[in-house]
Amino acid sequence: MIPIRRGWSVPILLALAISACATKQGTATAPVTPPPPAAATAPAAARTIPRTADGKPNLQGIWQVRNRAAYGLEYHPASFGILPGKSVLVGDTAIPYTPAALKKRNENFEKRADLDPFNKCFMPGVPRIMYIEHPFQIFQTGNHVAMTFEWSQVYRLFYADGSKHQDGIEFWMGDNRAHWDGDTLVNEVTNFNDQTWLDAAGDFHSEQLKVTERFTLVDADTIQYEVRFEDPKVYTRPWSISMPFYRHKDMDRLLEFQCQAEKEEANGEFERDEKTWYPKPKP
Amino acid sequence: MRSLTITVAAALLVSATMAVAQEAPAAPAPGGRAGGAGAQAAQGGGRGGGRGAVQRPAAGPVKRMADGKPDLTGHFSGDAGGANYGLEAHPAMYATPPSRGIVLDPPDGKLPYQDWARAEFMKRWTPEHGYDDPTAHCFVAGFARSLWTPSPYQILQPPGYLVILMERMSWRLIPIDPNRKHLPDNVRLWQGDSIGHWEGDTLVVDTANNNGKTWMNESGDVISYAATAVERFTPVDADTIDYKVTITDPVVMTRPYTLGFQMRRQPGEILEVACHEDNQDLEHLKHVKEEARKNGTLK
Repeated sequence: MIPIRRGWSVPILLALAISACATKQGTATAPVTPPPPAAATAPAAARTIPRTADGKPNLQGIWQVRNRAAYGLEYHPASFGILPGKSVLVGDTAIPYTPAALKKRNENFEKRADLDPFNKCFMPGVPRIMYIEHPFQIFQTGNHVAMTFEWSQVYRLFYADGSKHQDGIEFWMGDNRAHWDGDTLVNEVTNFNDQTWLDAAGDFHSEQLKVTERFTLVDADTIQYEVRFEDPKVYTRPWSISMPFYRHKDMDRLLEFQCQAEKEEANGEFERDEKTWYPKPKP
Repeated sequence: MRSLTITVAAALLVSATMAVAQEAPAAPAPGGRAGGAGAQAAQGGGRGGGRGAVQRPAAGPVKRMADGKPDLTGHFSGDAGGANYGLEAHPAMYATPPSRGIVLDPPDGKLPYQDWARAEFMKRWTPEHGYDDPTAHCFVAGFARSLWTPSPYQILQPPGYLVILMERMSWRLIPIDPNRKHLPDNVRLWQGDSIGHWEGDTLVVDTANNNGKTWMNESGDVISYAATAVERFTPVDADTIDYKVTITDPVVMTRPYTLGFQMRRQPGEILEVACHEDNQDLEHLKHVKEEARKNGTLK
């Protein structure tokens, strides 16, 4: 552990951080040259992001958002069950709903306690699963990107093998086909049902939703996550959100949160078996 | 086009029959208790012409990773002969399909149950306890049962891990790291805590920290929180993985026992089973249990 002392120059600290990082990634030669000035952050980041054996950005690790998008994608104040939060929309102050869809969204908000599918422990859909307040782990192989979530052991499997979307099958979590655009992982998601929401505020979509996600490793510990929504039945035009995912540095494995099992145990529908369940009852 | 989940729900009654057609050698039984995991086979034909009915050409040699280790990647399903309806060989009973049995040790194919646990298993098998099967509630099947339910899985082998993604929406993450330690004893999980290491071409996986809430199948074979397991994944050829698991469960058994079967590569991709999101079977099973309470067959 290197103590940070007043008087150390910022470049030295940065260089130490970069070299420590490189060592952790197992890089054979740590960079010894001082980092470039702040104006050249993009090239510096490009040099220091971890990469897989095939040279792609290495997104693997445990990640989580640090925002309130789960409660509302638009800038919103607090209300019952809703924590306040800043907008994650890009270039818009509101989601461009059609008038009828906006009416439905507002009804959803009023009746959210009863209507929100997340409260029923249903699969949250995409992209909502990405910004609920639970960690997830990313895995990469040559042809697949997988994401496993603490929340109810949901997972996502992206096929990055040039294959096409399924024909005629709907999925709660969509059908995922990915490719690399330079250093950005681009994933197109279609074949949705119309059962999931985008957040706890009642923002929603139809089965015509097409989601395009872009995952960019901006530094070793940050993924910038951008999502474009297209759904002519619900929105007047495409719109986007953007947010960072932060790496969990102090977590070496995901645990489990089984939403429905916890709920049924709590309300007595899934009764404890004294003979087999942990912990063993005291004699 | 309607959602896949509706298809699954609508096909609940035929699902057990299909599962038998895929898995078990004997005649199918009516699927009276086709809840939870057993229901998942219904959509097996959703893609690529169906599973299990494929004429297989001779498989090639075991595939290898860049580091020379076997490559277990792929879409697999356990060829477990009805283990989801009983680990021991048995005929159709209580409207559950038969099983050819997957008990390798003891050699007589009988699980070394303690008396109370054998009685508990026979009790669970009765129709009025169908509601008590955790997978009827769409809960996670457990580290081992997930591999022999009639529902396939995608295995991935990213650096340092074996990842198993169950079509029935759950996962197992197996870090391949002999230096890793199990979780603290009080942290108990549905899928347990698994740590893997290679012994030659076999991936050996130690699993502990089970919560004991799972059943081993629809019939109710018993496993407890005390169970620890050593699993062995050994590729046989490019399309086959031999799977053996030795389970030590001093609360339930008189000695360790070993189960085994082969996992076979499937055509196409895994789909998504939305079990809990459209679980119409649970109400039926609850009704059966409540009726049994009323007429006195269930205390």
